[in-house]
Amino acid sequence: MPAACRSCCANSRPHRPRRADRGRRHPARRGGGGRGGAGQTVIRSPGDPIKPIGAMAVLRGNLAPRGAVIKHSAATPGLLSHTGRRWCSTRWPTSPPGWTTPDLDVAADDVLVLRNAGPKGAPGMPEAGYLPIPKKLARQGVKDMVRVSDARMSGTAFGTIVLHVTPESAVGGPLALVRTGDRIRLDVPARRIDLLVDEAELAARAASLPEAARPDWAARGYARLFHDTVTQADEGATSTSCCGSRRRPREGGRPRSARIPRHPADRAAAEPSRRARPAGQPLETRPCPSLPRRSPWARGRGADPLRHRAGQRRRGRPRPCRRRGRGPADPRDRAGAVLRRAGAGREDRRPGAAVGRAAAPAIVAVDAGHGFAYPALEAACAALPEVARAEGLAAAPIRRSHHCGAAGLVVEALAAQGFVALLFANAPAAMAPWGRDGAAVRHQPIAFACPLPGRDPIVIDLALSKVARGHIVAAQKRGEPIPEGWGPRRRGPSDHRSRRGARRHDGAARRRQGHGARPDGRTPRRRLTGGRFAAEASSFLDITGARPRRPTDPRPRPRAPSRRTRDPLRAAGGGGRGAGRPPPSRSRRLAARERARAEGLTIGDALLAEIAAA
Amino acid sequence: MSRGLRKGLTNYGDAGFSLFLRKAFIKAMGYSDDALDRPIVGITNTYSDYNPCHGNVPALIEAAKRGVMLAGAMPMAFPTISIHESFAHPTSMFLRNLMAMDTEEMIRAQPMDAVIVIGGCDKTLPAQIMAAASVDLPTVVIPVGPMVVGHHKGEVLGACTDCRRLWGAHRAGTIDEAEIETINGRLAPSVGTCMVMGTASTMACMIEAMGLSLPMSATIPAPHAERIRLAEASGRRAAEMAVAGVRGRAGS
Repeated sequence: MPAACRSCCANSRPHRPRRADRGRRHPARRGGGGRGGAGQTVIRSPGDPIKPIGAMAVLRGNLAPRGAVIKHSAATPGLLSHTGRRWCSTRWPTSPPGWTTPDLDVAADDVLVLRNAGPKGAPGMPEAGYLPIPKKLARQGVKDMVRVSDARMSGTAFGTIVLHVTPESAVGGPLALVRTGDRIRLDVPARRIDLLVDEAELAARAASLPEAARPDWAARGYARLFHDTVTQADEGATSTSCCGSRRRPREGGRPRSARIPRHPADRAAAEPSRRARPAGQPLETRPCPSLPRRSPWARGRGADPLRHRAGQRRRGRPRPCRRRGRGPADPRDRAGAVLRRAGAGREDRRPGAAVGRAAAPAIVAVDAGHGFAYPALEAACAALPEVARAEGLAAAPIRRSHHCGAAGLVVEALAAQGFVALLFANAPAAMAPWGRDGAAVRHQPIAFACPLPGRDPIVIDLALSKVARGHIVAAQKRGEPIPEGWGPRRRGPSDHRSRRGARRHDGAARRRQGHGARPDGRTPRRRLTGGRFAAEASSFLDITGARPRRPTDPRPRPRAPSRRTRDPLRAAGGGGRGAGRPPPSRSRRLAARERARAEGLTIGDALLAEIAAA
Repeated sequence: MSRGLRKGLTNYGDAGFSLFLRKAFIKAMGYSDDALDRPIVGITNTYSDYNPCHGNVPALIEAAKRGVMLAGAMPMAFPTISIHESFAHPTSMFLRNLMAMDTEEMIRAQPMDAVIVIGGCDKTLPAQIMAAASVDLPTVVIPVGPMVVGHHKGEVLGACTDCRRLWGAHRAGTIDEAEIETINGRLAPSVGTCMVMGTASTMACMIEAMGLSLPMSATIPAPHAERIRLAEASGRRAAEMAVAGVRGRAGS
């Protein structure tokens, strides 16, 4: 084993010992033991494996909603993609009648099925999945057939055998609905095992299943304890009495495992709602019973918060904060930054984040390992729905992460599954509010989403931005002037038509960083660099394109070129009288998404070059 | 924190009396006060006449005791459930959690500062690991080790894989009754677990890779002398952990 571990570790990342382990050698390098080198043929190197595929594959499909397992390294390659007629209605523990008769109606390309052999049904999930080939076919030389069951198989056995079908037939799983003559399709490369019968027929068969009653063998003693507490195969076929208080046997839905599988095919199989679903098809929404079904916005105040606010403005209420959101996922926003950070060695390429369950049942703690927050958010969103359904409320604190990204997208995805979602992040203070000195306002995305009955979810996404700060600092270092309109003037109101800001870029950049006053002591305290509406901007980090707006300027503007362009709040009001237009905030977001889906995204040459170089 | 014989005293309402009574009884075994003052290392005895995989467990226990005593602690062996694949009805998996609960409760109920679990057959090692993880006591695992191989007509036999393959050939008619009976006597030639890369070998390799047992422990054949030396070294390691009072750590 030490030699095998060394062989595996040779090409992998170096082991980083924890503080308590410093000075102690890695177990693979500890101890004597032979080098396992010259003359031995047992231990293969990673570059010369016995088989390039792993030993096990997890399958999913309508026959095994919570998964099934196949040892495909020991299967016949020609049977890994196979559709066959289901032949046998064997019910554990009896063998099918006529199994050994020579005139049995069975063919070599049939699929043998064993039912009632799972943890609860058998009981104990025996190693019966290795169904013997019917004698008639064995005498003809058939060595392997596709076999499907909810049982186990010995680790020493082999064949194209699908095992651990979950939920098992004894608890009403789809395996109980299969009848002789149905067709079953096995597709290991796609990680699928499907029963080719339409949903209506399966529902009718399920309705005719007998009620589950306590069997005779589970009347008393350990057998009774086992029957009452055994979990399904995807949860270890263990006893709930051996687990902590958070574990409960589940009759449907996905298991609690929050790890994202590493194999792309396994990941696709584990999250069919996100990967296999064709673009444009909405996610299923499931009502969250413990939370209010109607959002406050839908309760008569008006569907669109902006329209509501616009109405308030017309009635003379104070001007509200403008809604500022990020648009659809734009790879130009983040890809360049990711590549640059990775290239500079500042980004750790460790995939994914570590998800754990903290002491409280409703907490899913995520440690992003000082990496980007995106994989951590993905991991959290994979785990949160199940916890929220079980506990009523769930929270995912994500630590040691950076670059939250488009917060609205995360909450929108959760709202599409029927949850009210809130996301907030923190960042160092980066902006000075109007009239003040020094950075005090944090770049703090906060996003909220709520499902609405029969409509798209409402999404509110607020973020302040340091527009083009990086570019301005970079321009300063190169000695170049800041593009017009991106820096405040030395004196007087900040004006997007000013040219003097270009000459003071060094001071502007310094002030923008909150470093303090200029020597003359009369520094204009206008450090708010403004932001853009997401629909107009390609990136908050990009200084090309539309110039920024100043969101809170208490002084009246001398000229308003267009009320509509100056005041998107009014534009959102849509003519003011509730003319029945769709909420422009949502339509802007969704319209941009539709446009991107139809026309694709334009990626600049500079970014393409960076991607190619990475 | 109480250690050794003072751990987990039976509750009679008077702790001093509980210890007095405990020592009085255990002295019936012939132990001296010096031995009873040492840290205690428990050793699970999973020997059973029904479990051929664990046929070498008595020799492993003797070696482990030797290692524990040479390191200055007191070994105490105690029996637990032992499950063999072919001798558990309806199936060994039905009893795995029972073994986990039995092992866990006996480790928790009896006074010991570290525990050595000896397992091998498919369900025994996972059950014992589940128990050790739940009790959170320093633990060293000793797998019993694989069998030696058998031979038949010039080919090497791997116990369970070839028994299935050859039984399939017998059902197909290519091997007759007499030959299959001969093979039956050669598939499992010694004590120890199945010598193919089945569940038992996989479990032992995983446990060694996780550091719950000493290096090289997964692959030494059961009848080999090195296996006995490994048991002694495991006993020594468990005693070191018991003496040092390491909490919440297993293996090396």
